[in-house]
Parts: sequence; structure tokens; C-alpha cells
Amino acid sequence: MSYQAIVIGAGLGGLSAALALQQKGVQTLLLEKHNLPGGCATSFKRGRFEFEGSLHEFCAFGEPGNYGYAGKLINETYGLGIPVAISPDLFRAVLVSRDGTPFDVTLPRGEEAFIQALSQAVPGSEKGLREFISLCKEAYEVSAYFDEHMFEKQKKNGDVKIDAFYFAKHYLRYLQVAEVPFNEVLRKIGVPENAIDILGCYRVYLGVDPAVVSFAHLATMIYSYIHFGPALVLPNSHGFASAFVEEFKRLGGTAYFGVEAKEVVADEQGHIQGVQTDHGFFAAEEVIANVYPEVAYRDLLSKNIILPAREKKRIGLAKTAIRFVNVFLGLNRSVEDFGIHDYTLFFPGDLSKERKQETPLDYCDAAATAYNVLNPDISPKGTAIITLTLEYQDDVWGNVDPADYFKTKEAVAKKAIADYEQTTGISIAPYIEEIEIATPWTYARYLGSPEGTPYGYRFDETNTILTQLLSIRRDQPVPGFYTVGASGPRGDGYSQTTGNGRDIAELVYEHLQGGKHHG
Amino acid sequence: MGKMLKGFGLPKILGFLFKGKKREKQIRQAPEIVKPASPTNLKAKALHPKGLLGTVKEATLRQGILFVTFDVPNFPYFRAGQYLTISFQEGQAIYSRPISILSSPKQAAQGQVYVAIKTNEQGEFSRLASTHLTPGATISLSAPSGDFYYSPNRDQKQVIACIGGVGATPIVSMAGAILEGSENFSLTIIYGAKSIDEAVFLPLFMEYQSRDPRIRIRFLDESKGRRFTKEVILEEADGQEFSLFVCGPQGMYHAFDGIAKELGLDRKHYRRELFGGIKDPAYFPDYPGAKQPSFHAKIFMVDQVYEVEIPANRPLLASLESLGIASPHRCRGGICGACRGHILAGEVYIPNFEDGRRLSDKEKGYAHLCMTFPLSDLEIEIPAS
Repeated sequence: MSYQAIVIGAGLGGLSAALALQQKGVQTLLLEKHNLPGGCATSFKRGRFEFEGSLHEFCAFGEPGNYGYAGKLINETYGLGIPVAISPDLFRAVLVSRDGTPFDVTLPRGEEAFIQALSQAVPGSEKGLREFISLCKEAYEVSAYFDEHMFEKQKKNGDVKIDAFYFAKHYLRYLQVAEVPFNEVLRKIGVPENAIDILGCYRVYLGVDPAVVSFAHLATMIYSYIHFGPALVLPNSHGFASAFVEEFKRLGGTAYFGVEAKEVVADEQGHIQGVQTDHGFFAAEEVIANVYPEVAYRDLLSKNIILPAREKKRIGLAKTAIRFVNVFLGLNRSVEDFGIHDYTLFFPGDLSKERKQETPLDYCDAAATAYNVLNPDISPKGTAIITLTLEYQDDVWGNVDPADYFKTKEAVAKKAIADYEQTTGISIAPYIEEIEIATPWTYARYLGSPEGTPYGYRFDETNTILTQLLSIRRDQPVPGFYTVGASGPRGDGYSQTTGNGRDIAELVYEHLQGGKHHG
Repeated sequence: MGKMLKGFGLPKILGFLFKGKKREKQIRQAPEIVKPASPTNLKAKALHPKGLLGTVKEATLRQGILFVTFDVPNFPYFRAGQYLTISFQEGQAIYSRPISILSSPKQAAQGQVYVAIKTNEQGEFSRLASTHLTPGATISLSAPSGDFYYSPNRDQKQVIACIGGVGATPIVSMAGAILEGSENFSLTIIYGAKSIDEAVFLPLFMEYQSRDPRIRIRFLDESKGRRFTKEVILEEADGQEFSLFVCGPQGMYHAFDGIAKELGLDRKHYRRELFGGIKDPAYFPDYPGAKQPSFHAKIFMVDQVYEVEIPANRPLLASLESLGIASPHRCRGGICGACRGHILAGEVYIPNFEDGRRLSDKEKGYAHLCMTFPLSDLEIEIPAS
């Protein structure tokens, strides 16, 4: 059996790339070292609970007839028919803002409801918020337009060519604000600081401070949430990831599990030959690794490949994104028993206090996801699943002594549970029937990502989704070899990594059709 | 032209148009760095090695139990109560079992890994263990695994552990962990055995009891008619809240499901060790029975296809292993999912009991092969190990 392309790693980026290629008729082999597909998109069992392994939620999914970017890609382009449950709210946030004001606010879906709720919480914000929403809408439309057309035209250096005249004509305001940091735009259009702090709770999902991230990035995300609502995949993430594999195989793709890639083999001229695994060699001239580029170049790629200086520098510049602890709780009471009504709760704490991060106990932002609010069938009757997500800006887990690891995990979980109870006034500790605690070490083990981040590389003022998408070809400078995943131009998140996979499949297809490579 | 926004103006538009150039400039000025693996990655790898090799240092057979000391350099930290798997080969057949770690976490971290294996029960592994685990032999071990351990955020400060036979081993490790400071909870051990001679770990528990007030031991001499009962447990609980941990032979678990009910313990407060493998599907009342004593199976593993005959009354995993087909495995009790395979064609029996499969796997014909029995000719896809 010979293959035109091999995908190493069945995370969402790899799964999406493999399925997109097979759909285009490219004979593809998918290799995964674990016995399951999914990467982050997986679930695990403890007792009578099946826990979502990491973040769970789709931005921009939508419903039949009103699909967002992700829903369209997954259920229309890929035809996976994934059912979702959609939250009526974006989130509830309990926090003390930078000026010391306490807030407990729930932001609902729908433009008008969203504006009303936030302007009620922060008086005097309505006018600014209306302007904000209209800019968000523009950012969303541009991003949809861009996704549709990004592979149509390219510059000589391979960069995506955008139709500046079209943009100026229709989206002049977008050009003004798109690449300006999010908070700066909000201030200029008159959104009060307290509203900025509340929206800033999305830091946990974004992985970067809204004071730094581009307006276009966060605005597109917020607009997608307002318009489509947060979506939870109903067959659980494991069923979702498995659907990719099933469709891929149905179209004639080959998938091997429990097979670990050892080397992406290249001949002396640097031409990709295939993949050496712990179960033999498989030949193909196009190889896509669902691996962070710094790891792929260091541990996987043939030493016959001389990496261009620009790529080494690009990696040198890249900073690892945030990392997490997830505390998975299987509770022997229902959300109704507890009086829990919020699917997502952000509780970043007191923003007016200085926050230092020296040990694993000093997590910054925190979120609680109560799955049963959205999917009552996710656990047996009379039980509930809550996951507490804690965020770390720095690699403080790297300093933990292995001898203290388990105690540290338990201490962090204890603090997070107490924080949750204090924030909500709801006692959960006595009802914990199952608990599992995943740390950056856990994610490092399963994902192999640097410092155990699931979130790719950190966005900043110049490394934005837009600039990274524009130079998507130059950022994949090895002919016949590509990396895909959260480290890709769209960054992390289910929607984003699925999109990154589809983008890479386009590049592979271009190359197979005789397209030139741009290093 | 579209509408302009006040306060932003041309500089921002130019900023947009030249952002890509700005990024290129940043890249040009960056250092060429090959990033080494981070401490988090290195420590995670050391904590979860893919596989380990242990050299048998000592092996002693006492009262039908083979006590083995392995020398394992760099044995990772684990939670007291976890197991490892021991594998060896005889002829083409592969034999493998999950075995609880007897050592405390700190003992094991120093390279001394103790296990105790029952040799006088049915089953090839037990029969062959003493011929393979001989001093000097190098044996494949897995990294520690399993979730039968004390969890301070879940369990009560007082644990009452009811143990029987060689199944006592996880509790030996827990007691050692308390003694050395790896764990901190009160452990009351109720140890049932047919006679005091059969309670092989009793002297050790007595010693631990004398050294640490958090550890208490009570012996139930079954030859004198003593039994595990609700009353015995309540007496030890002494009015305090407690978590009940149970580990021992399979028969014991059935008894305890009743006792836990009598005590009014919910799942949070009643935890037991893996049930373990089932040697004969007829054990389960809902087993429909197979029409033939054996079936034909086509096994797809990576690019290999095996055509084999498999007996109806053995778990698929065991049948594959006896044919030398190295399939992934770990808990062998239907729970962990390491041996997940896809039943592409044919009928199988999967007991409802201890079905650890994920929701969508149940719907889509995946099976944990260690708890799956053939009812017809089969086609199965399995991952490589």
C-alpha cells in the first residue's frame, strides 16, 4: 500500500487534515501513538463518570441552517453530523474588578440581550457596547470572507493576497481596529473599564491578555459566542474525535493506532521519503505532523533537512502559551440539588490585587464548567460533573519535585474547590465521588506539547491570527513537511485546530498539484 | 469607501497593512534557538515511562505466594495502591497480569520494587510465574497504573480497609506510605484469613501498628468462625465517618456489596480494587452461551492480518496473547480501556458488569477485549502495542 500523504498524530488538527485530504482524493495514512484518537478532544472514565479530558466547548458551531465557521466545516464540509447542545449564556462571571467593584454577572446569547445584561451591570456602557457589537460583527464577517477566499490568491513570496480595495470599500472600520489591541479599541469607543474587566474573563479561553491580543481575534470569538452560543458536542469529545476516524476510513483512508512515529525520513537531497515508526516504515512524499514545530524539528524530522534560518528564528521567537490544571469532579448530587444554573462560571478573583505566580497554588484565572446544565445525560441521574480549570501564565509546575507531585496536585485541587465554594456559596466537597486532577505534566504526557500547554504559542501584538494566516505558506518552509495543531496560525481551541487542519490540507494539496514551496 | 471610525484614522490602517512586515522584522531579529525539552516535559516522561525492565533480585515462594523483589532503576513515584503489569513469554504465548505494588512509593523510588503473586490458583500466569521470575531474570514491567488509592479530596480521613488473601498488597503499600510520610490518613485494617498462618502480611501490619498510631490492625480468624460483617466494621469505625476500601479475592467483593448496602455506604464511601479477569463467561448469569466451542477470527493489527481459531469461553485478549499476538493491555478487568478494539464483524458478549467503555464506544461496536467473549466468527481491529 502506498500513500500520498501521512498524518502523524490524531489530535483534532491531524484528524481534520487527514479527513480533508482523503476527501480531496489524496490517499492518506493516519498514525497515532495512543490507542485512541482525539488528543485534547477525548474523554476518560472514572467509576460511573465519563469526563471530558480538556476544554470541551465550541465557539462558532451553530445549528443546521445557521452554522458558524466550525459547524459548517464539521457538519457540512466534513459531513460528520455531530449533534451539539447550545448554551443560552456565554458565561457567568464573579469577580472584583481592577477598581475594586464586585461583580456577579451573566451574559446571555443574542446581541440585544448581551448589551442589556452588560450595560445593566456596568451603567453607562450601552453606547460603547453598541459600537463594540457592530465592530465585532464586522470582524466576524471579514473573518468569514477571509476563510472563504484565503487560498485563492497569493503573492510571489507565497503570502496570502488580500483584496485591500474590497476591504477598504466594505470594511474600513475593520482595517482601523482589527490589529489594534482589544482593550485599546474598547477604551477608544467608550466602553468603561469595568465592562472591559468582565469581557476580559475570556482570558482563560483565549490564553492571552486582552490588553495584548488583537481586536479582530477576541471580537470574532465574542461575536461567535453571542451569535451561535457556546456549543457542547453531545457524543462527548471521544465520540466527536471517533467520528473523524470513521468518516476518514469510510472514504478509504487508513488509520493505525498504537503506532509511534520515530522519524520523518528524508533523502540526502532533503526530499521527504516517509515515516519510520516502531512498526515499520511507511512511504509518502507529504508528511503532516500534529506536533509542535519545535518538537517536530528537534525529535522527528530527518537531520538531512536543513531548516531555513527564518524558521529557526520564528521558533526562537515563539513563546509557549498558558498551561492548565483541570480538576475533574464526579459528584453524587445533581446540578438541581446543588442549585447550579451556570454552564460556565469564570471566577478570576480580585483583579485589584497584585497577583504573583510562584507556585502551583498561585493560579491566576479560574473557570468552572457544570456539564449537566447543558447535557443532562452526561452522567447518571442524581449526579453531576464539574470541571475546575485553573490557568498558569508561567511554567511553575516545572519546578515541582516529583516526590511532591501528588501532594501538590491534591493541595491545588483543594484550594480550587474551596475557591469555587466561596465564590458560589455552594458546598461541593462533601459530594465528591470521583476526582481526577490533570496538571501540565499530564498534558505534557499525553500531548507532548512544550511545558504541557494545550494552547499552542502565545499570540501577541505582531503574532496575530491574521499575520500568521497571511504567511501560512512561509511558516511551513520544509517542502513536503508540515506541522499542524494548536501551534498553527489560528491557535488553540476545537474550532481553531479543526480549521488549522483544513488549512494545512489545502497546502498539501497545492504542493501535490505542483505548487511551489516558499521557504 | 466604508464609514471611518473616529479616533483611529489612517495610522491604524497603515499599521494593519504593514503588520506582516513588522512581524517579519521581528522574526529577522530573533535568535536561532533549538529549544530543549522543558523540565515539565522531562518530569512527565520520567513519571510515566512507556515501559520498564526489572531484574529479579530475589524470589521466594511461601505458602503458595511468590514474593519477588525487582531491581528497577528510576522507578517512578506512584500512588500507594497502584499496580504494574508483569509480562513474560513462553513459546509464542504471551503471559501478563496486573499485580499490585507492595513497596511504598519511597521504597520503589529507591529502586526496590516488591510484589506478591499467588501461584496456586488456576491460570497459566500463576503456574508459570515461579519459573520465569527467577533471580537474575529481566522482566518487562509497565509503569504504575490504576486508581485504587487514597484521595484526600474525596475520601474520609479515616479509611477502614477490609482485606483478604494476597489481595492485601495495595493496603501494605498504603500503610508503608503513611509511615514514610507519602500519605496522611488513618488506616484501620481488618484482615480476614482462613488461619493466622495464611495471614502472611499480619506481622508486617503489627509492626507498622506499633510504629504509627494512624495504623491499626485487626485480624479476623475465619477458622474460628469470624467473618466480615457490618458490626465488625462499625465497631472499628467507633462512631467516626469513614471510607471503606476493600481488596481481596473476587468472592469477597460480592459479600461486600451486601455489607456496604447494609452500612448505607454510597459509592463515594465504598471503593474496591479492580475485580480482575474472568476466566469463564458462564460466571455471568446473563451469558447467552456460545453455539460453538471455538470460532474463526480475523485480526487486523497495523498492516498485519492474522487468521486464528479462538475458544468461546476465554476473553479475546487472553486468546490473542496465547497465540502470540501482542495486544495492548493493562488492568484486564474491563476498566482501563488499554485493550480497546473495534469489532468490525460478528457477535460478542460483553458483561454489563464493570463495563468501562466510553459512551460512544458502546454505541459504535468498540470493545475492551479483556472483558469480551466471542459468540460468532469475528473480524476485529486492534491497535499495536
